[in-house]
Amino acid sequence: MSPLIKLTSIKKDYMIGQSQLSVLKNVSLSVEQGDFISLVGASGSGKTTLLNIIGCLDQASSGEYLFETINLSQANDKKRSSFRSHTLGFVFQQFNLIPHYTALNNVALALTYQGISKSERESRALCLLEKVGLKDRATHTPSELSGGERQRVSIARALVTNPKVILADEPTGNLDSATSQSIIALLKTIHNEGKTIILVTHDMGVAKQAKRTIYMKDGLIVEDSK
Amino acid sequence: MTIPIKEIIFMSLESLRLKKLRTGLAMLGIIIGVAGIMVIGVMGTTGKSLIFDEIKTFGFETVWIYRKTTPQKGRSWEPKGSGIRHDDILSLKEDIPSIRWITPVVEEKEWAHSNGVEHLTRLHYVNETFIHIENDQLHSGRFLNKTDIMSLRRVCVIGHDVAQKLFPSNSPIGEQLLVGNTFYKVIGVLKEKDRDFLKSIGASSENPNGRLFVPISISLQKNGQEIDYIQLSASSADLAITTAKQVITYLKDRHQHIFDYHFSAMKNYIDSANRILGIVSWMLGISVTIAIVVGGIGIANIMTISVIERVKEIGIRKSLGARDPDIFNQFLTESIILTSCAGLIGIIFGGLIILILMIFIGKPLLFPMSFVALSFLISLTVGVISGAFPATWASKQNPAIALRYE
Repeated sequence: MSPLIKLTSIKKDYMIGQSQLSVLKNVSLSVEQGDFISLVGASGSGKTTLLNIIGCLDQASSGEYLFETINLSQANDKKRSSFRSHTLGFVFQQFNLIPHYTALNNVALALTYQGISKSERESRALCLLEKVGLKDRATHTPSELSGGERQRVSIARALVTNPKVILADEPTGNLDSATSQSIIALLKTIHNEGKTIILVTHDMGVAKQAKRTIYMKDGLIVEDSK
Repeated sequence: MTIPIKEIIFMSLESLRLKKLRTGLAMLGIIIGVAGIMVIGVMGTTGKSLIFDEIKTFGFETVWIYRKTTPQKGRSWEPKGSGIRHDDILSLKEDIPSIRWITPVVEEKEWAHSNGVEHLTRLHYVNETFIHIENDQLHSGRFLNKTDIMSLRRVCVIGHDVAQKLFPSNSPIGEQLLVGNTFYKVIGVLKEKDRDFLKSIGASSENPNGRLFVPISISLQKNGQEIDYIQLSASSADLAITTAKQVITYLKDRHQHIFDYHFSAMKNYIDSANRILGIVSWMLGISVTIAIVVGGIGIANIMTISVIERVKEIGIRKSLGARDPDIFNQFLTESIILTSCAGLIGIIFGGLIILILMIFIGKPLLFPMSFVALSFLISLTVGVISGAFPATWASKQNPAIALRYE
């Protein structure tokens, strides 16, 4: 079976003034359908950059990125946006909810960019909020929710489009350990339902819960334990 | 696919609602500018029509020809008289085809008496064409005709004020009026004429409603062939000055260059009025344009600030699948909504000012819809122009960097 995601010789350089900074030096990686991967490494090791490239939020300087049979290495904005919208779901450390939107509208927003009608958006969003246990919080804005609740809303938002892959960048980074555990448990449930999950973390306790852990250092993969 | 415009408008309204004070202040510049366009437009059109309505009471094509009384050089004596005789003008109309109507005028101040009331009038001895030259309208009865003139009928046509003063309660038509020492039968009353504005700027000192018209032939019989001046109407305003010059040449030749003549033509006043109105509307136009541009810069400012503040939101939206055009449309729509709302408020505000002015001035103002359309179009344009740059900037944000923005 061909891998879901196949990265070959991915490099990412930034120009800082006159000097070039190589964040990803030469990364090749295959992700299978149904993987639960944690990307671990010190800050500056390139794990978030790698996740952003997988998420089409950033573009590699060189190398090849295949998703199933789609080549995303040189894809244009239209193709990348559509890919983000239909295939990926993001969960961030900072939750990244729109502050003046209610929980329901935050979740429903992900469907807006698929051109889905308002009533369908809302019913699907409510369904997902129920799944993460926040149905009664639907009309609350993020400032009225706790950290854990906010992260649940953002997980609901990531799932509402029924994506193939969930990309989570330090999803527990801003949460206490008990809340972290419940979030990880939620991600595990999602994984068990068939989603592929790639999770960036520097918390080894969290990393160990994944089936596969990839260690990064100075822009390179140093260890890949399955 | 790009998301439907309805959704974008909804999103834009949402973000504008969030920053009410800022939105309102940003709109202020455009509101003032648009209201300015409306008021200036209305005042301009109304002012122009007011002035031209009054100029029309003299006739746009009207020319007056008088003797020039300044002494000729190298002449020790000055001839007496007006230098114009009634028979001078008899063949003029045939000789100069650009004359449409021409009348000799003899003017006197004379007391008119009726029913024991007396009123000082400006008695005009004229022919039957006078009514056409100054665009006079009859209130009742008729004007002098050829037969009145030929047969020296003692008939008169009176101005509105004369009728009001001497016949306050009954119709003057058919009544006898004693003017000086001659009795005239009133055959017509003229409609009231308004020259208030021209009077207020000193361009017309005589009361047009205090005139009294009698046949020129009566003056010829009484005072001889000499008349005071010629009043004529050229076939067009553009021909008025040439016509006047032709008449002057003709008169000089007929009188062996004893007299000099000069003319005044309404055409000259029309030209100056147009020139002044032109300058005024340019100046006002420039000030309003500046106001709109400044307003537009204000909108651009606010939109730029709004984009910078919401870089993270842009990142979030992009991570959820928003395309560059979706982000561009969202911010451009905000800007267009902002300015078109400001435009509408400006139009309403301008309309209110015009209404208040109308009540204050007590005259109906001309309200051209084209200015409403123009104002709205300008505000839309300002919205597009001042929103385009921030919206482009927003849409070009790299989502990975935007998401990290705090």
